[in-house]
Amino acid sequence: MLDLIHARLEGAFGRERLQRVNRAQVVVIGAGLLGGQLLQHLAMLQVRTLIVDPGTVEPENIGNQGLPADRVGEPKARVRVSQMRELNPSCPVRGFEVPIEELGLGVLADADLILTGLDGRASRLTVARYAQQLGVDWIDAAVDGSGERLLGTISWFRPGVEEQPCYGCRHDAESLARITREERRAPCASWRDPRLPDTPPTLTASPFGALVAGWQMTWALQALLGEEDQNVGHQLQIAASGRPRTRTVALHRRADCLFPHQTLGPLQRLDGDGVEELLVRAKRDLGTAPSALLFPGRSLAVGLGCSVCGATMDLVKLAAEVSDAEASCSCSPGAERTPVVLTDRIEGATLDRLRGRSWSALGIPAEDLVSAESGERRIHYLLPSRSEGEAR
Amino acid sequence: MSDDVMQVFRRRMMSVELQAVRSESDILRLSPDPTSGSPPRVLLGIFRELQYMEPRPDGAVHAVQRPLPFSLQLPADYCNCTDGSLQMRVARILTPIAHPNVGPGGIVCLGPRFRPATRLAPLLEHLHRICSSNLFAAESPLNPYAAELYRRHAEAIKGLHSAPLWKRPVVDRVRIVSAEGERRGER
Repeated sequence: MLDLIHARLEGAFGRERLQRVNRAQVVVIGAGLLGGQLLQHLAMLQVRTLIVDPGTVEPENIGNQGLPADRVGEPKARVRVSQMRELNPSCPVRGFEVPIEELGLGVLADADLILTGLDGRASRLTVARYAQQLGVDWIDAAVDGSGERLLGTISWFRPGVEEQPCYGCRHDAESLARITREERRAPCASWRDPRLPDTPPTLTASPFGALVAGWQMTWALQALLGEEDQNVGHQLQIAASGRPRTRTVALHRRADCLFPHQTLGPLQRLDGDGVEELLVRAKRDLGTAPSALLFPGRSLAVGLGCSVCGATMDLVKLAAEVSDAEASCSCSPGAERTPVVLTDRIEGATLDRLRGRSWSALGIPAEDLVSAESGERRIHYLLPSRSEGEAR
Repeated sequence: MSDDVMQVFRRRMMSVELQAVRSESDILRLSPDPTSGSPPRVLLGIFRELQYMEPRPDGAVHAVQRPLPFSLQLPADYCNCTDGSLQMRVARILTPIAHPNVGPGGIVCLGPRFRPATRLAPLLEHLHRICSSNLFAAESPLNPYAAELYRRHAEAIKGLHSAPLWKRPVVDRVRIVSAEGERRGER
């Protein structure tokens, strides 16, 4: 049966081009309406695939996302992995049941292409950052989620190239603030979870989702085959209500874009889980001991203090990983501890105190990006992988 | 290389904008921390005259008028942070203060009105309004104890009076922003 599938694909693509597609690695972020469609094609084409989706199969997904009704309550990433294996057992696929914000950059480091079908602008901005840091092509698809109009867009970004537009190029400071402000629930964000709340479910019916995802997959094949790039930096707009219309527009590079347009360059992978190992390696690579470690996009709590009794507690940990027990003080009922400092940068005496600690104990995700700095020089490292958080 | 955006932003903030705000305020002392890189990433400041609520060792809180030291730091994602964490990673008060949105260690939650890429003058103005108790959010506080206090004594706290941050009234002050050659049309 598999031989037959392959024979047909070879007929369609040619042996050499099919091999190119088979060797590629694709990351699909969001495994819902659009992602589910993409994964079906990727399984049939036997592309090495990583699936990232923190959600579980909800009853309302059954009608339009192609998820089996008997698997309600299971993680979507896990269900999609088994669906792909059913379609094509020899397709290498891995799933990650975490939000993209909590995934270490290194998980995506070997990807040739990122495909997204997400329902929030904030998570797209995170994907934009990762794609930019790695210099990996990214094709984003979006559908109008209100269910009122059949509108969809597909945008192709090539972050490695300085003059190319990025996803952030459409935003000035004001519109960027609107994304993070409008969708926020409380006046002050929670220091343990400053992320935005989930967006309401997409109400678009599956046929239009299939249409948009099919077109996105067509662009994805152009990217993987590397034969055509006239759509890079462009957006395809599809309006399917009434008489269908499509148009392709060029996206514009904003001269004063708020987002960096450079990639990080070479990333060094680390073997051991200890902070000490990174410090030793960085000292060798920099020629001098690093003065600071940077954790881009992360907030670390350094010290916790109680607002009632004033007592402080020594601690360095990713803010999101601080436990309820650590965040409450025994001095009086309901007394809360909050960070003395919240930072994405560890330096000086705090840095010395981290020697002997492990990254997992600090709550830093596996394969996360850590940069060592000395003066103006920076070297970027990827922490080692761990097996947790991965769908089996 | 990756933070060219921030290099440009910091350079401008630490030169043109810093000079402009210094000349526009009588109560502000502000200088870059030279040990924090080049251009500096951290500013050390003092509001020289301010009425604020100070916690006493016995747990009571009273209004005092004295200089208030603070620090401002510009993280690598100051211009493009996309979650709410930036609100709490920029400003710190370096002396004990009782305020719903200031943690026991001094971190300030600048709240949702603060946005990425805020220039120095509006950033200082925002911080000054918080420290002088003109701006506070008692919901989702960093200091629940102070929040309860502010709720109970809202009237007294509104009555605190601090010297204005800027020499001239707000309308004139738009010049601080236009000193950098942007937003000229606003005057």
